[in-house]
Amino acid sequence: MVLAVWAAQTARRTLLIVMLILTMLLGCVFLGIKAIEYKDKFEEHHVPGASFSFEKVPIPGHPPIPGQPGRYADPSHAQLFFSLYFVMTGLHALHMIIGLGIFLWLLTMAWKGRFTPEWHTPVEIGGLYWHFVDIVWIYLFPLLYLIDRHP
Amino acid sequence: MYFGIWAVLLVCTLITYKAAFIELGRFNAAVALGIATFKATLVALFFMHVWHASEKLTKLVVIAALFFLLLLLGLTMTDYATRPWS
Repeated sequence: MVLAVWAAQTARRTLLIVMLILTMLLGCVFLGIKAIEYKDKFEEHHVPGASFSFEKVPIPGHPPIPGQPGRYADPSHAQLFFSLYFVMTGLHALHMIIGLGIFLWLLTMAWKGRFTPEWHTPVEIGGLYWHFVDIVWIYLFPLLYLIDRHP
Repeated sequence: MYFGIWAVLLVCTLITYKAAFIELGRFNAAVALGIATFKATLVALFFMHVWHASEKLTKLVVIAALFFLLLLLGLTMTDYATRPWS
């Protein structure tokens, strides 16, 4: 996306269009991976609610010892985690879908050649928005996927 | 330059991933969030063009936003840290 802004600044119309399409493609790849992830969570009943089930998943670093309770993750804690997981990743994904809509609009504008080095404010602001969503993911990824992974 | 920043971000992601598997106790979260903050700073400075911003107003807005974010997180943490059961 930052390359698209640069292309707009330096009046490279074709590069701007290519970079916008590339940004949208990679965004779709991310959302596709997210969809596969969500599908797995649904199949494993990890979605908080009436059908939530979380059993016999050992805490990382604590291999299950027969006859010892409390060595498994607490299901109610797990449900709390998955609530936060779905709200945070869901909100992030929603922002990405909005971003894809913005890029579609930017793409039609770029196609018509509306952007010049003097005026390309929509591209600039679209870039700011996209990188804000990026920063959110920079924090969400370690917080949701890597916390307590250590052995 | 943008590709360089991008490469640094990818390397940082790899370091975060590797660091998560090293036992550091409570410092695991601190290391992960520290690297995340470094990456976020790079994105803001270069991809969001704060570094080369000519207007002082842009920098003022960024600093003000950070200040209010810190207030928000700080006051939330005062609640969390002073609960008797935590």
